[in-house]
Amino acid sequence: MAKSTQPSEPRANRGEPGPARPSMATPAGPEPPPAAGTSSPSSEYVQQLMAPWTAMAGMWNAWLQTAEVVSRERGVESTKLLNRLWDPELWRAGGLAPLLQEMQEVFSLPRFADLPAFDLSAFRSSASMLDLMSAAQQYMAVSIPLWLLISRNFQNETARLAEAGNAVRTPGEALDLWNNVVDRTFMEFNRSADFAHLQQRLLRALTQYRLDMRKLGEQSSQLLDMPTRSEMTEVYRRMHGMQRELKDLRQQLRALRRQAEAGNTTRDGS
Amino acid sequence: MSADDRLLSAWTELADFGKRVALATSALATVREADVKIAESPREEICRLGGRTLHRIVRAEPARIRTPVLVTYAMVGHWNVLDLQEDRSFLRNLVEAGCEIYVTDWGHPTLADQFDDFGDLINGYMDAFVDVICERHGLASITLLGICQGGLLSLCYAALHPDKVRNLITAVTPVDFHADQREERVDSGFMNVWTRSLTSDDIDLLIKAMGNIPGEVGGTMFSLMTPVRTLAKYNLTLLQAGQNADALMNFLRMEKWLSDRPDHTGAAAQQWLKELYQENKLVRGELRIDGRLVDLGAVDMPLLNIYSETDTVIHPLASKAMRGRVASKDYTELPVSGGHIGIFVARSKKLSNSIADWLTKH
Repeated sequence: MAKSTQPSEPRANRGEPGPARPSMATPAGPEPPPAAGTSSPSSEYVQQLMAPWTAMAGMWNAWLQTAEVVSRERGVESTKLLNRLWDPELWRAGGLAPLLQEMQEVFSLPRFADLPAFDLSAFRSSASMLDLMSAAQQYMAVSIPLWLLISRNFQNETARLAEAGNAVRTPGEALDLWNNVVDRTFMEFNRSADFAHLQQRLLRALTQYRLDMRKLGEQSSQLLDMPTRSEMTEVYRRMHGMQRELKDLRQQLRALRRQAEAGNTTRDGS
Repeated sequence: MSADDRLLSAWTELADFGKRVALATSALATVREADVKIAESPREEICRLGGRTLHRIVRAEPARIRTPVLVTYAMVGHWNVLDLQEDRSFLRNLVEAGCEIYVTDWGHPTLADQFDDFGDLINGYMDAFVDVICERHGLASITLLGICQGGLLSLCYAALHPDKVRNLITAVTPVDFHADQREERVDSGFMNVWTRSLTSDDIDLLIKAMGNIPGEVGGTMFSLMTPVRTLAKYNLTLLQAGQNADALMNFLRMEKWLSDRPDHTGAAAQQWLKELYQENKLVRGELRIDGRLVDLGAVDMPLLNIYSETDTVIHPLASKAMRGRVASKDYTELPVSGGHIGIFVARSKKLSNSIADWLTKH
């Protein structure tokens, strides 16, 4: 309260645009000399009594406005994003990693020189791992009915052989037949659009997970002053370019030598 | 057969199975990793560029067939499957049939090699190896024998450097990468179907994440072609092989080769998967290597195209698409029976003898 009673200068009523802000400073600025006959002990008492309340009201108003701005700028989008967490499709379709990326964008702040950056990369790798697990679970879910189909195919094949007079007689024959049926059913499934879609999802989840893990690894490498994978890749790229250039230069040199030798031979001959 | 007879038969079979398991286990217990050796034909290192090596299979007497042969295998597997063991060695058989054999060894690419593309493989390493062989033998051109992806690389080399290729032999080589769509078979062309199901961005993302395509990815693809047979080999096939010491060693040598899958350089894999498997640029006349168009019309040397009707990896139509697309007036097709790898690890010398006969006439 000491501050509110002795601020350096008043901050209200300076003709600034915007809503009137009954700030903490308003009642507490360097008080003008009381006009003669305008102040009484009772009104001063009321003013003193009101000052903390007015200051508090100003603070709450400021926070309300801040909340409104935050809600307008970030709240609507973040609520939409958080609502998406309840959408089962998000977990099925491998959308958690992109969602976290969007979250990072929604909550991002300007970069401050001496404060740590807001970084969700650690969460991203967890999200891509969840996506990977989800894809693997989906694969398992698809393979269960496949085994039912295999059993049905095996029964049909056994019945067909029995009808044809070639009934399965020994466990060995049964095992061979079972293996053939399983193989054929899997081969057919592996060529189906369902499998292609699953494979694609699994591949994307795996590669994304690997890339996210690499980012984490690179952060650790930087901390330990070790070259990162990206830096090494850049070194390899430059090395490859130089090797190609060297090869071209050697070829040119050989061609020039051949030309020179041919020229010498011609001169010697003449 | 009565129910009692069936029960007795099942019981006998079960007892026999138990005995076979015991025999296989005892056979396996006597083998160590160091006992399983492959690629034992004597060879010498002729040239090394980075991790790539040119080997020569040593022969005692001069070769009957004068033009040396540079054998190039795929990058997705190691060349030493061509020299699996003494009595199952495609390279040794070629040497015995009178050929002078050199082999391209792509080595085991690391991340330092990830930017090696077809231009580096063909105009860099292969061209350097061809020059070395030409110089050693005082020749202007040699014979190229390419297998699977190595066949495609040899074909592209022949199109870009026709003056250095006297004869071209391609074996189980894909030329039209969409040919499988004309005759869909459940047991062939899985790689084509799988690759086409991906987008171009998926492949870019894969390369970005991995740098190179790990050998395990190729292994998984091959396993998916015949999933149960892949699993069954560790019970049924191994059990069968374990009854005989030679058969067991054959099985283990093949396993050793399968477990050693080199990574595929990223940049070349991008071209292989996107420009060939997805976009089929070679037969469309749009494939560019180091900025130069690969014109199959420039392939005018004698050409022997070997394929298998029962190949589960490369659809026979993909190989047969060579006919009519190259300018060779001397074009021969040689259909063989066997699997994609099986034809090179068979005991039979029929394939190597056929190649030697063809080379003798050229």
